[in-house]
Amino acid sequence: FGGIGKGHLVREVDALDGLCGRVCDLAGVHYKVLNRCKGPAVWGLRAQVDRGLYRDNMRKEILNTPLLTVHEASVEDLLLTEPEPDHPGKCRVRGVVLGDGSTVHTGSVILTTGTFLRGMIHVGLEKHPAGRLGDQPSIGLAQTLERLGFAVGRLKTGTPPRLAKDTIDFSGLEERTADNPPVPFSFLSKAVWIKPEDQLSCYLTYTNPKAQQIVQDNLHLNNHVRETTKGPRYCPSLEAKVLRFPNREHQVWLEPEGLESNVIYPQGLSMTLPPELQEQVIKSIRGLEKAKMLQPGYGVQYDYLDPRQLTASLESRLVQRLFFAGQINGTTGYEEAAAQGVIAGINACLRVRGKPPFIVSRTEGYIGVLIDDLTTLGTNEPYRMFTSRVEFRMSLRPDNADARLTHRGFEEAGCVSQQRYEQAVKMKAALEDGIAALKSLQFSVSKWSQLIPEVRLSSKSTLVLHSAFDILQYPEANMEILARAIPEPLRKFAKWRELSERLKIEAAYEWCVVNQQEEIEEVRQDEALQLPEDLDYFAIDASLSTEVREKLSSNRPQTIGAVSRIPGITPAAIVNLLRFVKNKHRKAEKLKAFPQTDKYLPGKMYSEKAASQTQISAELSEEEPESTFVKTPV
Amino acid sequence: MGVGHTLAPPLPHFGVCMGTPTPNYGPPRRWAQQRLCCTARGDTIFAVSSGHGRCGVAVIRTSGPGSRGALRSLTGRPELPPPRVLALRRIRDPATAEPLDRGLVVWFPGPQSFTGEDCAELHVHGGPAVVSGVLRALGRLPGLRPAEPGEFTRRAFHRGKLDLTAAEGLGDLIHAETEAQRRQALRQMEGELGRLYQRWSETLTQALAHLEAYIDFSEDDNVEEEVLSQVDAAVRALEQELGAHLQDGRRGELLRGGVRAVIAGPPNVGKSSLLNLLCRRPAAIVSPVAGTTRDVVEVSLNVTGYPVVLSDTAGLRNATDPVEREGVSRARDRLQRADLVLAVLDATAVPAEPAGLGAAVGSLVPPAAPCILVLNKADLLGGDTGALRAACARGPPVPPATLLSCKTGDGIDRLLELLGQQLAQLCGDPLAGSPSLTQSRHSQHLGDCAAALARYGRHRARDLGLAAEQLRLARRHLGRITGHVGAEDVLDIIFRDFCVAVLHLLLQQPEVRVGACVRVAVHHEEHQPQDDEELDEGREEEDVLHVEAAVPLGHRLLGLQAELGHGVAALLHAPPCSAHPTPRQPLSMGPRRGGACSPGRVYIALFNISFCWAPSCLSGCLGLAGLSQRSFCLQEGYCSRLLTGRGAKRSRSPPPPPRCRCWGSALPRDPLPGLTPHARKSAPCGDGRGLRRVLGWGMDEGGRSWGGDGGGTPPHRCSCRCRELQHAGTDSPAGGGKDAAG
Repeated sequence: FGGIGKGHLVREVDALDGLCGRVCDLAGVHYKVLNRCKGPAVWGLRAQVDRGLYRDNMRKEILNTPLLTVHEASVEDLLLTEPEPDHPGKCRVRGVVLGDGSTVHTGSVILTTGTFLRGMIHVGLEKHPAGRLGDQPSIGLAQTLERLGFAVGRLKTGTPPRLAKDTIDFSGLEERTADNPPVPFSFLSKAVWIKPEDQLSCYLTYTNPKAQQIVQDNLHLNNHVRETTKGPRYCPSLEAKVLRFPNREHQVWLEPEGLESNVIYPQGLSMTLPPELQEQVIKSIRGLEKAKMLQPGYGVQYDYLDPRQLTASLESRLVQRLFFAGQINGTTGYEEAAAQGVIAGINACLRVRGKPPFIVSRTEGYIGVLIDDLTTLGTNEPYRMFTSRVEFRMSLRPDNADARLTHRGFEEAGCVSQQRYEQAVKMKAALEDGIAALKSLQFSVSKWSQLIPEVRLSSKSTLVLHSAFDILQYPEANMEILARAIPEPLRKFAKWRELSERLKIEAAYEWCVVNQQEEIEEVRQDEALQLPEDLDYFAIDASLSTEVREKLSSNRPQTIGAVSRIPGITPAAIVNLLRFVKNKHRKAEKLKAFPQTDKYLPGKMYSEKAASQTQISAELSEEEPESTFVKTPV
Repeated sequence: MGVGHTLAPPLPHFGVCMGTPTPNYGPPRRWAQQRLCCTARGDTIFAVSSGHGRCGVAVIRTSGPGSRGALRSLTGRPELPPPRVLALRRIRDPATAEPLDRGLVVWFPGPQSFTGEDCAELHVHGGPAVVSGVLRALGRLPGLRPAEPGEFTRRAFHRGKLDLTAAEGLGDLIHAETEAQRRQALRQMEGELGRLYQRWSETLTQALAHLEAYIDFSEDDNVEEEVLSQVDAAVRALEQELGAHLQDGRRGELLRGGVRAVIAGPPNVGKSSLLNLLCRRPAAIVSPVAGTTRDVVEVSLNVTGYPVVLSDTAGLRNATDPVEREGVSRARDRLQRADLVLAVLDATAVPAEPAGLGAAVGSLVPPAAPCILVLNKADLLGGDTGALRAACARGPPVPPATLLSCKTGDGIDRLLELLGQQLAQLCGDPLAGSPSLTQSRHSQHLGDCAAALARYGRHRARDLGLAAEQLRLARRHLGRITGHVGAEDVLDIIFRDFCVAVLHLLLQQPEVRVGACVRVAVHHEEHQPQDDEELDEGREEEDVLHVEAAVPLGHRLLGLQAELGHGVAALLHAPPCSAHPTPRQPLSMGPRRGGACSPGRVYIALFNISFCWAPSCLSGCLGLAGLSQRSFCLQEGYCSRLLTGRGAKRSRSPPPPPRCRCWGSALPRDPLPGLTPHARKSAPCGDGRGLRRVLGWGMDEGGRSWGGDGGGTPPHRCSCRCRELQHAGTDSPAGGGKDAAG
């Protein structure tokens, strides 16, 4: 769970009180922050998670959620009814038909089908329909969606063979120990469940020319690779790596699947060769000479729906109140799925209550970037999150996800618990106090050199005053050193470890965040120009070429900002569209309220004093979200 | 009437129609409000808002929170003039308190200003020295920076100001035009420079991509550490190249500000005599006593066309007298900052061999400073100059040198020649150099880019994320010079290259149809149409056209009115570019019909702009149709002159052939081969009945409609119903067309 870019998503999901971060803190066996030496903005929180523990904890959390009823059954069809007049869409979903023919009536439906939609498993030349090894695919639902007119594409992914731990010779392999202390995913977790020294290690080994030879000699036995379906470019199968980068060694990480488990997950060894050849490949690798294969690797091909058919709230444009999240939208991985899940869940609920949608902007979080990329540009390969997809990486850091999203989640979406909200408010206030205190302490360079000789200051000018906040930017400086030199008023901040770490990060990024503010404003302005959801681009009276109309119609951008990110849209088209929107907007201005997505912009969030806690508790709503989550099929 | 009709090009177009004043402009845009409440901070921008180059009065405008402070600093008074009232003030450079000019200043506190922010305007004399002095002074104030092209308009647009005073934007239309020219100039004159920046930009992009790959993938996949060292090497090389280029870039500045030349040497070698000789007047006191000159004496000279600020300094020696000691220290200070040193030695007291001469100069002049060696008192040598002359001609370590006698004036020609050579080297050839207009912007962005690269080096070891961010910033700064910007900056391009004002007028129009024929008329709120003819005409036009709305005049339009006469008319239409025929979609708008304007009524015109959307091709033409027919030549990037003067509308003869005055090239890229937009208007039609006008949008020569009732009239026809053009329309012209044909 987690990783570079993905760890950011987990943090943001947690900031919105999604479960996965908290459960990971209760189930991990190896916690590691990747990119540790590359700066806190790109740290990748990651954990190897014990599957059993994760399942048990997650089940406990879900079953203990008040007012939530859980049904387990396969979903075969959707119940549809007349559309609501003031929303786009040709019909509205009002329930689902289960495998046994019974129906469940709902206000909204979220489909999170993973790889099950017409899933097909490939091993060597064999293939059989399945969503996951041993699970039936979902065919009826796929047909329903196609019948409704959803554009369907096909993607593939794969999983490596599993190995028996006791048959692997770890002695000659490079060991990667876990972090001590481990960094928890959740803002609520003070520490993870496992003792640091009890964590399991991962081991690194490499493929070699022999493995490459086996793959190359047997491409004819490999249906999955030969087909043209798009697979992930970023965590490719061994075959793809061998074909694209021949004559190189490729990393294989041997990761434990659980504390008690004898299963090893060889990350990087995803392949779809016939099982006997997979065994040959495994045995050619150092350390795995005698390894026993518990389960062969296999490839899955599955249907996904073009995510451009969704709004930014992940509701489909065709069918009202039908939401999609996860691999069905063309993404890879658990973290992307969790990020979409939390947004789809919130919006499904808001939709039922008739409230405006909850949308995270590109300037507010990785979740916003993910969903904006998907719904604006679509994807033709499994979409994976990276930090480089994010324009405002300096502001959208894992450490400040709560400051960015928790307040909005609490006030607009109602998805955040009181406890989390209060903690976020407390942290925000403490950060503001800390920054103000640090900024108020100003001394000359020579004075600083006396106070904290361990920090070497580079400034030549002795006249300019430096605040303690400036000093904190130096790599050697930290709150502890500063508090030792100036106990009053800094001691109380330094004692709070988490706070002092965050203060240090805020200091390091202040310059960049302030500088990015202008760019963020520009993006915000473009995003504030909203395009009507039901715009018929072929009918509107604007000077647009047919090609542009087609592009706009298929991508359905929701803001002018999104239009400008669609490749092939000319500036002229944008101007014409702008004109159209502004006219329309002027007419509709009094009727329509804008979603307020700019309240917690990073950078300015600490510049204003947080509302006092008493005020906040007064505003607290007692309502619990009420929505039906349907998981298909379990 | 009707002589001044503007006729549409035979192209699909749409137009704006605004005749009747409509009081309702709606509440300010919501996004504008959002913007306002979240922009406490922000840069303050400044730029010359009038045309560039020599002119009577230049208007320098600032916008942003720092405007108040800037105005106070420059006027040197704590109180501001009353808002929106012209005030006469002495304008000083706040750094030196040196008066720059006496001019009019206006203070526009936000939001009642053009951009909606605090704005100040300085109306100063238009000489380049004054303007650049004021700009330099503004640039030195904290928080102020030169405006990006079109930035004033952009700010106004974002604050929802343009819809209230949309007419004001016309000024920026013109402004945007000069910016386009600037870019054109950049491309044409600095093709190499542009390519150089482009190459740097590519280097940066590649380095950034590698760094990103390392950040995102190094832990999982095999992205080796060596990628990082490659990036480091590329960035370091670029930083050095940029540094060298920035040094080089002072040429333009030298040319503007004058080369600081310093005369230096031991006491009593004739430095002051040399100064007096060069400026041909006794500017400095000359005496045989060593150490006469104590202070620095400065004169401004024009040497072979280059501006030089020549300073005479005290003789360099270990002085005992405290006054002289101060003089020597000032001399040394000047020497350190000199762009060029005239090292003066006594010809009778120097060794006549190169090594000795070199050493003598080396002891005087800071190393690496450009230097000319003057061996004075050559008259005292008698005829015995051969050895010295030979030593002078040796080259390094001896700098360019000459023998001179300040007493007789012998050798002054050679000295001037040497000076000229050195100055040419320092300043570069002004014809080959970068245009001064862009220089400050260039060096600012290049400086920012270099600073970002330097920060990259600082962050590299500790935080790769921050380091990558610096590369991104560096690339952004470079992109701002070349105008090659990413897709995310599309709106930037729009605001820079296109007339937001006219666009905005269109934005106001609820029912603008492609091909609709519309008129833009702006009514001053306080004035009503007075003259009957005009009223008639107005009615007539309203009959013909869908007159939708009017825009109240903002105060700034008055200035424009003065500039352009009673009114202006413009038309935006963009035929496809011949160089890039297909992909870019032209922006098209309808023309405006001219007609008599009374002082109380101002017509907004639509400019006839055609731009090619291909980023590399900015050729376009801009014509002002209607009352004053003007065209701007963009082809050469220099000339923004009128092609045809005002009053052309009065004449029935075709306007002069549209040739640009710059270097005579015709307007580029005409959609109808051989016809410019202006020529086209009075193109002879095919029926042989003389010059008939090809009418644009339902208007005949008499100004009457021929399609008023139909509404669906094809946009272009000839009034005489000649055959070639008629086939373009499906229905026959109706109504007044007959009159005209007769």
